[in-house]
Amino acid sequence: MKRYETFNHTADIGIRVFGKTVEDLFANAAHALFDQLTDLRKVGDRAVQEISIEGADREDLLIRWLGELLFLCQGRGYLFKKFSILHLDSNSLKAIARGEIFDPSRHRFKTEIKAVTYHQVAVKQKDKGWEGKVVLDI
Amino acid sequence: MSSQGKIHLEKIDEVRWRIPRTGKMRVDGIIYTSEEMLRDMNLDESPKQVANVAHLPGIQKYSLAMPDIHWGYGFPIGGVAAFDWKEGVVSPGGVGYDINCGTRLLVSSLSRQDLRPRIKELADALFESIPSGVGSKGALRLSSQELIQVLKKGSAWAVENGYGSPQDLDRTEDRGCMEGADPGIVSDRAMERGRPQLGTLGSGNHFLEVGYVEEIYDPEAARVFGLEKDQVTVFIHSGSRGFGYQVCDDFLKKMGERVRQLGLELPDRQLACDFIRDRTGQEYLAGMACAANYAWANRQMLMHWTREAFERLLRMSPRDLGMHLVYDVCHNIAKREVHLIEGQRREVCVHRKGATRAFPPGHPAVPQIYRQVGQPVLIPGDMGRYSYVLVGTEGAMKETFGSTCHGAGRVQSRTQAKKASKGRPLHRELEDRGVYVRAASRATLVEEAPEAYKDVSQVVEVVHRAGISRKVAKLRPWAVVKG
Repeated sequence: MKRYETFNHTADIGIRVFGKTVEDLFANAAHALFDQLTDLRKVGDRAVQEISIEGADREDLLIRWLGELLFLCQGRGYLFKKFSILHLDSNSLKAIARGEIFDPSRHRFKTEIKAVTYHQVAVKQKDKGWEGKVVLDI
Repeated sequence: MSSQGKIHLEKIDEVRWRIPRTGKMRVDGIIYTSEEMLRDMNLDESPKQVANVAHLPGIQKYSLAMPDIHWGYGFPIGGVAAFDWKEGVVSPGGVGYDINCGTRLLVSSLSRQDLRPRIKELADALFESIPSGVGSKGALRLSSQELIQVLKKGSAWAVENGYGSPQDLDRTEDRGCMEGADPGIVSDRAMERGRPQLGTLGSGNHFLEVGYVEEIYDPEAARVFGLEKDQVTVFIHSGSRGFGYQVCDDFLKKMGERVRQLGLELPDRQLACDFIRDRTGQEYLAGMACAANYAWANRQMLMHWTREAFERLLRMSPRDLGMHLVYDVCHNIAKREVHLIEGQRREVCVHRKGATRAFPPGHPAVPQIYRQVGQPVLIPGDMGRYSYVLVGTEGAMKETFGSTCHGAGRVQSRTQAKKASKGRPLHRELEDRGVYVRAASRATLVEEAPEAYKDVSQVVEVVHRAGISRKVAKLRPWAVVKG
C-alpha cells in the first residue's frame, strides 16, 4: 500500500496520506513530512523522543502531531524516520519517534518547510482504510 | 471544509473582476487582474479563497486580491482585507507564517559600467558574506535578553549595535519598529527557533539581488527616490525566519480554540481568528509585532553585510559607494490604519498577505523626504526577468485600503517547476540571460525558475492601469544569491 502522495498546490506542497488504520495514517503522515525534508536513507534511528499531544479532534491532532515533529526538527535538529503510535483517540495521541540529530556532514535538507497548515485538512475513513490530507507551507 | 465549487466572476472593467456576495459572505470580493492572467488562474482555488475571506466578521467594503494572487492557505497570497478595529477580527492566516516578510532596496553611486568587470566576484563575495539556505544559522549568538531587545526595537536595535545608520530608519516603513510588541507573550519555542537565525536570509523565494536601473517611467518620482538609469541597485527579500513561523503557528492553534468557543462558522480552518478587542486577538497583535521587529532587524543586518561586501571587494569607502536605503516595505502584515469608509474616517486592521502598502503623496506615514511624491513600493520579480519600483497613489487609498501587489506570484507549483527544469542547465541558461546566480542548493534554484512565476510586468501593468500605484522604474537582475 502506498504510504503517501503529493498533490499540486501553487505555493506549497499538498500531501495525501494513506493507512490501513488511523494509527498507520498518523505514522505515514510523519514519514511523509521527513521524506519531503531530507533523504531518509541517510538517517539513523538511535535518538528516541516520546511525544504526547492533545487536540480538539482528529484533524486538529494530525496538524499538532506534524507541527510538533517539525518543531523538534527545526528547533532542535531532529530528523525522524520511525514512528510508533502507542495511543490515539479523537482528542489525544501518544507516540514514539526514532531518528537522529541533523549532522551537516551527512545530512541535507531538501526543502524548508515553514509550517503544517490547517488549510483543507482532512482525516477520513474510506472503504479500504484511512485517508488524510494536509498542506505544508514551504 | 473548503468546497471545490466554481466561483462566479463578473467582469467590471479591463482590470477588475467582482465575486458577487452569496451565501454567508458579508461583502463582495474584487480581484485585480487581466484577461490573460485570469486564464492561468482557472485551475487555481484562489478566487474561492477571496470569497472565503469575505465570511469573516467585521470585514469592510470588499475582500480584495491583487494581480499576483495565487493559491495560499486560508487567505490567498495577494489578499487584502480590512476589519473594523472595534467589531472585527484579526487572523494569523491573513498575515501568513513569515510575518513581515518584506523587501528593501538600496541604490549606489556605481554605474553598470563600473561594476561589469567585477560582477561574478561580487556574486561570490555576497554568497560568502550572507548566511543563506534551509535552516541557516547566523554568526550571531544572542542571549535571551538581547533577543527581547530585538523584538521590542526592530531596526533600531540593529542600528544601535552597529548595523547601518540612523538615516536607514527614516527610510523604513514604520521606521522599522511596530508598536505594541510584547516579548512576554511569545512562546519559549519561538524564542528557541529565533535565537540562532537572526541575520540569515533563509531559503525558498528569499534572495539578495544586485541589479541595475534599466528604464525610468516617472522621472520626478525617480529623482526623489534617488534612482538613475544604469545605476547599480540591491534588492533584499527576507522575513522573520523560524521566529515568525512559530508565532503564527502558536496563535493559529489558540485561535482555532477561540473559533470553537465563539461558535464561528468558517469555510476553512486556516481562517481561524479572534476579535481584535478580545484577549487572544490582542495577544496575537503583540506577538506579531515582535516578529515584525525581528524581520526588520534581520533585513537591516543583511543590508549592513551587503554594504561591507561591496566595500571590501571594490576597496571603496561607504561615502564613495553611496549605498543608501531607498525604502523597506513589509508584505505580510496586519496594520492598524485609518481609512475612509462610507464617508467616515474609521480605524481598521488591514491584513496584507502578499500585498504591499502604497500610500499616496501627503500621507503622514510616508517619510518626509518622499511625502511630495508618495511612498516607494518595491516589487521584486523572478530572478531572470525584472523588478519594479512603483509609487503609492490616492487611488489605492480609495479602493484598496492603500495597498497594491507585492511581486510576480507563482503560476507553477514547486513540483511542476522541478519537472520542467529536470536535467536543464538552469545556471547556464540564466548566465546566457546575463544573470549570475549563487544558490545554496540546486533544489531551490529549480523551484524558483523564472517560468514558475507570472511575468511581473503583467502584474505591474494591472496595478498601474487600475491607478492603485504608478510605475517609476524597472530594474534588471544581474547577480542573485538564493538560499
